[in-house]
Amino acid sequence: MKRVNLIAVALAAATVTIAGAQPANDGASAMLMSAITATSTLSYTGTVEVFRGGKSSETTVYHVEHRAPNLTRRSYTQPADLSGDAVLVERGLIYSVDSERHRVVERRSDPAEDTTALDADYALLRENYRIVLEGDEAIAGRRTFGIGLVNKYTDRSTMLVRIDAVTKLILEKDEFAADGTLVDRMRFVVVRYAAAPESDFSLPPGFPVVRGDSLEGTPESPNRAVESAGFAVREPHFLPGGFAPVEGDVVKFRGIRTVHLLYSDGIRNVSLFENAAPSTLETSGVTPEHVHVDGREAEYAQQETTVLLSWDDGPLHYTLVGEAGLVDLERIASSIDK
Amino acid sequence: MNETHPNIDQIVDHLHGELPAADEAAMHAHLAGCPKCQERRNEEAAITQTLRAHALATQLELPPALVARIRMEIAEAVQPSWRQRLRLFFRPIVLLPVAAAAALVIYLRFSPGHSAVTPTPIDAAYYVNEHAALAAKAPFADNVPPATLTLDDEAR
Repeated sequence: MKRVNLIAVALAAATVTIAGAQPANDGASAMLMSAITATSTLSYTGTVEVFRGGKSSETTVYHVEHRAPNLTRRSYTQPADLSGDAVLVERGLIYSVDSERHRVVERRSDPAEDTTALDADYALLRENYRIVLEGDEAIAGRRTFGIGLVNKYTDRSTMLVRIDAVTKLILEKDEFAADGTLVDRMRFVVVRYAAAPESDFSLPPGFPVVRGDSLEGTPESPNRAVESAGFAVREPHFLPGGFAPVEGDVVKFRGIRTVHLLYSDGIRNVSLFENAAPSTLETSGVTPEHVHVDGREAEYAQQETTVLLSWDDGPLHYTLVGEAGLVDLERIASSIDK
Repeated sequence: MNETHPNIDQIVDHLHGELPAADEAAMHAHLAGCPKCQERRNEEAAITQTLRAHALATQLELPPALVARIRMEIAEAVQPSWRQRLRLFFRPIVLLPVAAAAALVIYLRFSPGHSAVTPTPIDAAYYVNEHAALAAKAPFADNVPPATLTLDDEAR
């Protein structure tokens, strides 16, 4: 409910700033809502290809089984390093099956089962994006309708989804960079609408289950997270167009108390992590670049659409992670009081 | 379509995904505000569902023993040999963090005048995973995180 109130305030503010914005197409909007909620009642199996663009583009392929409302299993076949690995999502928990280390890592997930929160998020999306119908296309042998999402602040297409004409399942999701290039594509190659047996969602026998650190926190409102942090949290004075605070969390990772604040515009999300003690960033597999943010040295790394910016300020350590570009993250970082 | 109610043919076409995109959008908009048409749609959907369930029930399935054997053979096929395991260990994504951690330990152990208060190293994958977990409620968020990030040494 707090999430809803916060978003309502943000929407009221946004309504003032988006002068002359056109009303969303009600029909396309209703189709989009059907697509977003389809997996809660629809079971399916299929093969999915995920293309991630950027500096080091790669394609991942996995077999997916979904049993409505909330059991999902992905078994990876490509790239070769992931072959044999699987991710199982079950009622708010994620189990990552690591075949190489012969173990399962258990983590928290916040599935979209809270319909009130989903409605609020969808309202935020409608406020910030124009919903437009695109042409038909056949995907995995199924007829699909295309629905484009155009950001009202930048007037650029941010996302295109193609939904199954009958079931409304999203069979393709394309995300675009600010310059219009494709940065991320999820696409079904094969889809079959049938429920996999429940036994397919069991964990492999003999694999020990290890608790991941993200099980520690409980999501709450951003204000409550700031109040319960136990140290003086500094919040940004600037957020990119349409972004609003939607959720917060206080976690203890490797002994360090950390406040996690989440900002969203309905599609893109940005997280701010504020550590109460000095820490350094380990970036295995990614080489960070060094940048300056308002006179402070910072590290910046990008993996597909996700950008990470990290810096120190006295005893505190900050990290921004999200789908906004580096320019926006630098502006957010600069707006945090020193 | 908003002023006049859709006829039964249009509702059937909608259920079978055969309406043009604009008519489909108009149908959704109409259904959202017309309980009577929603009811007609649900009745038609129930009939379609019953027919599909009947078709599925009469479909021949592979014997369970054969399915189990195929699964077992696939599982055995993906088990890496000791040589593959060794190669996996020496791949850069594993070896580099191990080497970096070893270098850090040596540095902390032997560096003269090193302060007692040292910054705690936190893996970038932790932040990305936490971000994905909290953002999973967003309408188009992927509620299953990328395997590459969850399989790093997150659990400590």
